[in-house]
Amino acid sequence: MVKPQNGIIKVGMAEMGVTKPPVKLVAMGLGSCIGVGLYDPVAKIGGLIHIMLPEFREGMHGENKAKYADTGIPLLLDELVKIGAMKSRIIAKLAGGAQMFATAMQSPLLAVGDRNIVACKGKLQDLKIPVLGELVGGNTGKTFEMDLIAGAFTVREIGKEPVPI
Amino acid sequence: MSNLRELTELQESALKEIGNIGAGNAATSLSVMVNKVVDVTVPTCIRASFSEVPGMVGGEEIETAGILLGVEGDVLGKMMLLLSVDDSLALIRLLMNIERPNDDPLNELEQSALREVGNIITSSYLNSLAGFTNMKIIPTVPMLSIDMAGALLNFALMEQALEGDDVLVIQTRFKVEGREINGLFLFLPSQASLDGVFQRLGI
Repeated sequence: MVKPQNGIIKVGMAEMGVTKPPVKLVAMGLGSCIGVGLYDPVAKIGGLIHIMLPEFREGMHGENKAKYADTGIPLLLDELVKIGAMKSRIIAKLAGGAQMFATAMQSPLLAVGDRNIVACKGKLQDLKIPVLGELVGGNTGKTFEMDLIAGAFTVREIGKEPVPI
Repeated sequence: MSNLRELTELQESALKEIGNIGAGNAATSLSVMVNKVVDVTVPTCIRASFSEVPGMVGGEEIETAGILLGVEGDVLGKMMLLLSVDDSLALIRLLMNIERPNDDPLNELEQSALREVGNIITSSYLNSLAGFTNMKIIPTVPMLSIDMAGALLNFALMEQALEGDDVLVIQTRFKVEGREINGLFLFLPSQASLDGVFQRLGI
């Protein structure tokens, strides 16, 4: 779990954080990775996870569950409930899942962004968490920020105005 | 939470030595291309968690030109050349001997020139590794993207993410004399491949 610094929890690759206002949450430079933000709009409690891969498979190494969509999202939900969020109120928004490099050859590895999107949405559906906003896919890097007081979710891209989702 | 083994002193110095010679070869190749002296630093080997890697290249949101190659054969991994946007344009001016405004997007020929730089640096570097280990090591076709550094690294680190919770980053900085072009070159080998390299070297 990432701790806040100067009022912001900066969630890096394969990390997650949960907080109450006025602390903000941000995942910077999302490429094929996905930032999944969960939010309880009544308690104004939020959490953000920076997912690198769709699913944990046996035989892989590493213990960090926050790296995968299928193991990370339930973990984030648990942590949110622990600090006072109510599961039935939680909504999700997501950003990322781009294909940053293009070649003539298409391979399943290159399409990891797409597979991340499918895995995140599938897991959120399993958990019955509605997805109320998203900016996913494409081929540009994104920064995803959550302001818990306003309930505002914003995505920034290079050379563009920030977009609310 | 980490499962990448600590390198022994001998292993680390072997990686540095191979990297040093590889980077020297790469500098010579680049120097011939641009007809300028190219300086390289001694490589550093840093074991890092994924969230720490963007900090090594200036931060997640810094707009960066990234040339990425896969490493295949007996050693698996990724090679990535990172340049600031200004430096990538300065390099293009040198390579193609042209003047160009800063705000024009890169045309196909210019993109191709940058990919070729990545190709030549990577090949020189890998030749050193192949020579030391007598292993067959092949770079894939270079890919170019200009965007947030963090976003470029997401993809470069994906295979290491399948293997464990951290990554060995072998980084070399290079500088083209007189033109203030600073580049950063990352070699991201898989853990299994590193084990193979050490086994081959008997260390």
